[in-house]
Amino acid sequence: MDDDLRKVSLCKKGDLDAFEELVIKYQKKMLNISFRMIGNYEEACEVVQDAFVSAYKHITDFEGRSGFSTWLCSIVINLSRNRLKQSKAALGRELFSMDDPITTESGFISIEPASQDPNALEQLEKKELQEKIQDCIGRLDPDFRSVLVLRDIQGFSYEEVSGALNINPGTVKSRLFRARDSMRDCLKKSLGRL
Amino acid sequence: MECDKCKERLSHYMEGLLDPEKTTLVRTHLDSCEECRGVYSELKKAVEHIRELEEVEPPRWMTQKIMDRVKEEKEKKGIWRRMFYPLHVKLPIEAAATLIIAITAIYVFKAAEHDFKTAVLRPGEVVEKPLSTEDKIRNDVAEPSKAGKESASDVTAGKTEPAAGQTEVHRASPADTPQNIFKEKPSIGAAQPARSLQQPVREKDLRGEGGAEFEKPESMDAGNAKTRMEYFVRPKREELKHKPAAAEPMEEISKAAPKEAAVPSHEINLTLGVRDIDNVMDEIKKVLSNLDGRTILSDTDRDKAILIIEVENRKVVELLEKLGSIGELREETPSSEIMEKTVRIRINFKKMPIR
Repeated sequence: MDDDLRKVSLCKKGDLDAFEELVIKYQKKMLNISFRMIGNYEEACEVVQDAFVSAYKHITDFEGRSGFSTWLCSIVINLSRNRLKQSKAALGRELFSMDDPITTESGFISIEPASQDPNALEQLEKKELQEKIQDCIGRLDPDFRSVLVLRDIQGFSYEEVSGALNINPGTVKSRLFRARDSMRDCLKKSLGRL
Repeated sequence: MECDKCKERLSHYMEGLLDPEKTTLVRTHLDSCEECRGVYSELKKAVEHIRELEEVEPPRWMTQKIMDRVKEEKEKKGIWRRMFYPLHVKLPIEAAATLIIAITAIYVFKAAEHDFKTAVLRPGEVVEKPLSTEDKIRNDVAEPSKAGKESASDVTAGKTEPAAGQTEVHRASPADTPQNIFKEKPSIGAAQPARSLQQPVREKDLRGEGGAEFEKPESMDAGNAKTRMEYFVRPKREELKHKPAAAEPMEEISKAAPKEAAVPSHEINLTLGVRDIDNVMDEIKKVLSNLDGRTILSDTDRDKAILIIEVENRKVVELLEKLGSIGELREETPSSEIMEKTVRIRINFKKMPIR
């Protein structure tokens, strides 16, 4: 029996330690999926917590036809999409400039001292690139975004993506093509070149 | 191959998902088309960038927070289960309890329905009252009659025999002492509904203070009856006991009766079958006023009505003749010779179907 399935079986009998092991094993993966879907770390953390609690509540519904991680992933994707809808409805898209001054709680402007590290510029560039990629991901429609996140970021197989999103493999391929093409277009505009 | 078609297949080509034939076609096109080659290069770099995205680390507190929430959830689940656990045991118990309640309710309802139609007679509560001098005289006149041999103890034991043309009294069950249940079946017609009997306690009241005229000599029975026009009867003890409970106004009559105690009178019990009770009632009242009689009580209730009147002895015959012409008259009580100056007549109206 698959190790995950064995732990799930113990969870169904009320073994919290087994569930904790599953949490430790998958929390990082689920957090990254949610973070790439939402683009906000704190909200992604909340979504992951909700997803694990929801998984525990409905653990008896898990029949083992797909892997536990695939099942858990579908919960995270759904909750992330719900969170996106709520955020859009509540705030719309909040834009801010990276150059905006930062006001601390004490009212002072926090000034970051210049780094003496010779790789600082490289790190800054890398960070900026990551943000731009994330920004481009955030511009994708959630249907395309979820396919891209699972396939290109998490490395799911087409079958796993199909199972997690409950769509057929042909749809996965077509959505993935469009998502990648949109990303290429977005990054080219954002970075100036590829 | 056209550029658009090639670009559509670049994503799959990149991952090696195309079949060999399409792969060759795309590769050939890319070799000859600089634009598509440039797009393919950009696509590969874009995917590389995406795959190079750094992973974020979960906060240290995350596992603990998740498990805290899971434990809370488990406790809630436990409380919920305690409330309804074990459902597979509780459900059959609840179903059985519901069934028992339903059966009991039906049983009680049926038992009560029976009680509605019957009255309870407590033999021990029947009070033997000393006969008045007048009654004793009447007893002597009536002796020795067959029906008159009925003793009070027989009555209390439920051994009453229905006199000719009188009500039948049935004992429901010999085992239900002290509550012998009697059902009265009027002999007038089978279609007439059974009437409930009055409780002895009430009877005692009605026979009490000044109610001597209702106290009957046991022997005043049908055996001495001559004709309806000549002789009249007073109610026997059991008849008093077995008065219809349905005729509530009768209780009022009984209570009112002692007030008339100063004027001794016989009571004649009649049944008058009519089609229109109200009209007949008015008509009888007119006749009564012509005969200088008076109405003691008049009560109408849907298909039943009771009229109690008093007339002088000498006018009774005339009154009964007129009643006979108004409706289908039937005498309910055994006759006896009239002794008093005034006679009380109780007329029970029975609605006849209109043909």
